[in-house]
Amino acid sequence: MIGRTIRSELLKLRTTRTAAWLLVASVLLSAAVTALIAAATSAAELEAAAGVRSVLSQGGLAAGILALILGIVASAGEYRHGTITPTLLVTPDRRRVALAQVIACGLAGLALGAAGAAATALVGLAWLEARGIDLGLSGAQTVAIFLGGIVFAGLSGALGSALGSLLANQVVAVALALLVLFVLEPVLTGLIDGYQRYSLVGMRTAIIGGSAQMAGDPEGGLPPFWLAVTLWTGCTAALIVAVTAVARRRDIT
Amino acid sequence: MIAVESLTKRYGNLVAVDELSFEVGAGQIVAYLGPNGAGKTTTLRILLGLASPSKAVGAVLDRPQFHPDRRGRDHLRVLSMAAGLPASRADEVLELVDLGGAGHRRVREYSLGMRQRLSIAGALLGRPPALVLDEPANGLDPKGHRWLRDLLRDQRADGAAILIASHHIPEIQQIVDEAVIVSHGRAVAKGRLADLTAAPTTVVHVRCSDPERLTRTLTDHGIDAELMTAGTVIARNSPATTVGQLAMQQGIAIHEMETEDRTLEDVFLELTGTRRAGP
Repeated sequence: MIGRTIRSELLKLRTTRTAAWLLVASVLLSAAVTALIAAATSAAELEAAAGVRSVLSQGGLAAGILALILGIVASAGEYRHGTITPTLLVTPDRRRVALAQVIACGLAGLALGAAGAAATALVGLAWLEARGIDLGLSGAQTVAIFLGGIVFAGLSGALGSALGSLLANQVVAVALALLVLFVLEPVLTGLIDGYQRYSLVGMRTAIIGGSAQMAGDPEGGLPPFWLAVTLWTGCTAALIVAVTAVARRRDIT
Repeated sequence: MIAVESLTKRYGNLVAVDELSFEVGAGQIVAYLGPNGAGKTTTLRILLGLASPSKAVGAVLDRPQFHPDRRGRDHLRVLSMAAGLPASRADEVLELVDLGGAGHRRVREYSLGMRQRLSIAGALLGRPPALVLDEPANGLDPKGHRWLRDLLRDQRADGAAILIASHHIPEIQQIVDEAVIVSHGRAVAKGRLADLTAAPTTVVHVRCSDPERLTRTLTDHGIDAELMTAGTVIARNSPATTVGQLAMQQGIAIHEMETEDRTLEDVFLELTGTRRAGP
């Protein structure tokens, strides 16, 4: 039963232009940021593995942020446009609807991640090759960075969807997500020793294969990939539980 | 069938719906009427599972809204897929609501009437046995009103139970079988349309051979009768048959007799206290 709800949610994403525009944006932004970082980083820094990681993980990072926005816009947009009404009339099980939206946005995030990672691979590897930089990474490690970026974008899409469903307001949800990721977490990372390791920014950086420096504090450490994925998924699951609890009592007006 | 039993909804201290009960049987169209703020929309949303009741509950179906960037046909395809219906059903209902040629257009390009038709198409997708319609005639032109009436009659003939909330009372009076009138969240009247609009305030206009004598006769029998300047007798609160019998007993020839029944709108305005005072 949830299969057709997920397919319906995927069809929703395909039948508005938001997802298509964000896919294009993922390619362009990933390529642009990768080129910018590669150009702005000195050869000495790029000779270190952290420098190369910083360049090659930009696609996953950019796609992840865009996927987060896609998830929020898609799920909170249901309330903005009132489409949650027919959605719930056809599928009254609100938990199933929320879960299907999270899964659909996660899949859409994977697509954004693949586009972003591909753009970064093309631009980043070509740029580093042109500057004669030795990657200092094995083939498997390089692939893992790109795959990590794709996974992160998928997880971000799912988290964004859960947050959008919970808050039911696009502007508030996007503002809150950006505030936490770009203001609150960097401040807390500077104030609390060890916070970075288990912060959203720390988890994000670990998943996309970046260095601790990218998360803000080179000495702050990062969780292992598997733990970061588990914790991020746990955050999403916690939001889904909250959505289920709230949605059950929420009046659709 | 749509059934509501002792439905109550409170928003804080405000009682929006208060112990409301009514039924809509299969093959029946029932009007659900009330002034703004009477609790109509709240009731319908609880019926549809979109709002949670503060006490007991009952019932069924539809009232969609749209993403402006989505094409009309895609809106229906999304709902069809979620409901496990074939995509071809979207095309069928588009034709049913006369939007077959506009399905490829984005909803932002639709007129209000076209959006209303698309809403109705969404409601009909799953061939539901019950239809709940909130202001279904909104945005429809006169041709659209007639189309809607015909559509609802067809649905009733197919056995659907139909509940309509609307402010277009004269319009829906043409098709409903029964009505429920609410005020301040409570049902103030419900029943068959004929019963609601009949006595006790029936007015009978009579043109006859001796209006003065008929007026006296009716008054003598306790009927509120009045002789108008045009020679017409107006009798209030009495069935036309009684007026006719009394005239016949007196040998008064009736030239013309017309009963002025109340309309559903009259009943609504009287019961909800929203009739404006006369000049």
